Amino acid sequence: MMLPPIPAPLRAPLDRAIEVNKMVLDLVRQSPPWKSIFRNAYPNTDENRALVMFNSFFLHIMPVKVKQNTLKWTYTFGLGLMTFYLFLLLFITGIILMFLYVPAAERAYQDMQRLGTSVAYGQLLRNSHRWAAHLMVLFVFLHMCRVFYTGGYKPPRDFNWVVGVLLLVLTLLLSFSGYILTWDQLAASAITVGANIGGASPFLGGIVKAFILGADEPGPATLIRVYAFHVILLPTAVFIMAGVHFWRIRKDGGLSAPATARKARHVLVPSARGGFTVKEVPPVSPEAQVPPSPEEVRR
Amino acid sequence: MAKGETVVQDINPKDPNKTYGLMELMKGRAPLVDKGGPEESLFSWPHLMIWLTVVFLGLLIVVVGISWIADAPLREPFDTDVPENPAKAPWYFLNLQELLLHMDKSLAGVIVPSIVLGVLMALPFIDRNTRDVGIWFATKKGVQISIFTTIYTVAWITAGVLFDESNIFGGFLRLLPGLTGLTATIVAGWLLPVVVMVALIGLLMAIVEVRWRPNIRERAMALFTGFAVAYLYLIVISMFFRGFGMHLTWPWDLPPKAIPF
Repeated sequence: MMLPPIPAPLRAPLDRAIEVNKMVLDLVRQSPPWKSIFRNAYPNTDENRALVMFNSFFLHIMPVKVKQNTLKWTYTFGLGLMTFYLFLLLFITGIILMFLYVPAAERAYQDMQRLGTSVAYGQLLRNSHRWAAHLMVLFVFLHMCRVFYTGGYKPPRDFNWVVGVLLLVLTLLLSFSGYILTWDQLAASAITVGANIGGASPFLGGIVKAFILGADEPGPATLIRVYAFHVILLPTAVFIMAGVHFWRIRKDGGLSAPATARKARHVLVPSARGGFTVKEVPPVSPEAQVPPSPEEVRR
Repeated sequence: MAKGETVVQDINPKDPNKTYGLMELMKGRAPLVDKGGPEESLFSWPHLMIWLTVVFLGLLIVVVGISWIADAPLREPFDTDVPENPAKAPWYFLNLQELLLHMDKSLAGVIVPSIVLGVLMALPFIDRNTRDVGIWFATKKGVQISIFTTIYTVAWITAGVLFDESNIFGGFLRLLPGLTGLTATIVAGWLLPVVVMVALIGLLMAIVEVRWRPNIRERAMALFTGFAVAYLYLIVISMFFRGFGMHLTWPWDLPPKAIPF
């Protein structure tokens, strides 16, 4: 990187500042508490880059090394990652909202209004929770499309695709249950349509409807029920299933990637004179990587 | 061997003075080549970590930015005795709500979505061919099939919705004016919608089969694209083209609060 030259009078104090900074950092990094938490030195050598991943509870779900393809922006668009981040944001903003909201039919709506009028940053908090929820549904869907169109659902990732479909359903249910909690007319429309659909289940209609509503009609019993789904049942299910989802990524060999690196390679072939010849094989197109199937040969 | 190869050098020519030589070459790969081995992978720290951080910060800025500009909706207090008109579900269920207008509610709301989810989950056990994993749309044919399926799905859904209008079962019944009562409910609510859906999917697969001679992945791509496009397009119709009483209208004629945001 090109930086402008440092003017002469500034050079000495700047050097001194860097020196002091380094001294303080060293002091912290040599201290027993720091070393008790971080058991390896700063990850600027290959060994420490490996250790930092092993030694951290939060990082150890990730591998020490990742395929270059995994980091290619146009391969994943970061959709699964963003879905997870949105879930984290929703988890945090949701907990704060729980401090400020009582799921009782006679005051839920007033609590919603109070968020906008008498809670510091209450409206921003609620907005974040709402928009992040919509974005999460969108990104789950886009993530599914990405995995499909890159063939990521195929073995050995077949089971993880099934887990992913279940996570899609859980996300829709989470978003839907949260939508009810505002206890306004949007919620009334949603629960009416939702209960109608649930009640239309063949054979189980009545049971499903009662399970959703907790009564014959949408009302106070519905609100507390949907709240319990929204803050405990469904998030717990998502945490468990997302845990399985991420763990399976590791167990299935990381994210899917093209089977053959598309670059020139060298192979040895027997030559006519009895020796061997090094030949360069030019990069091949994806279609030509695997011999055509008998079905295709026939055409 | 592929065309265009070039001889770089001759190694290990036969030498009568040698008592040893290269005996055999096995076809195969070193254990780590092309499997994310050392040459094709990078350290997670810092290459992955930097992206994890950047994406998180970027997302945070976007979410807070949207929240700063746009307030989450809050309408009048909950009252099911005075329903909204139109009463719409959240956007991700509007596709189901649109289906409800065209067939029996247990078919539209429960059976069709259950079958779709079932097929989605069964997909990796039907298509187990791993030859094009990791390549967007697999092949050129995959791209063509996806584009064709998108146009096909949008065209047929537009035609179907316009034909059936917003009258529940009405459109189909106009074909068979003699039917009434339970027969009408069964024919218009169940029989005709099932026949139409199966026929449209069948026709799509038949066209793709004849035109492209697809492999299993490309067939799956036609099916999935049909699902994804239908999912999104039905949302668009239900959100922007359904006004009072869920009747068809233009987006600029929508009644106030017809969009559930």
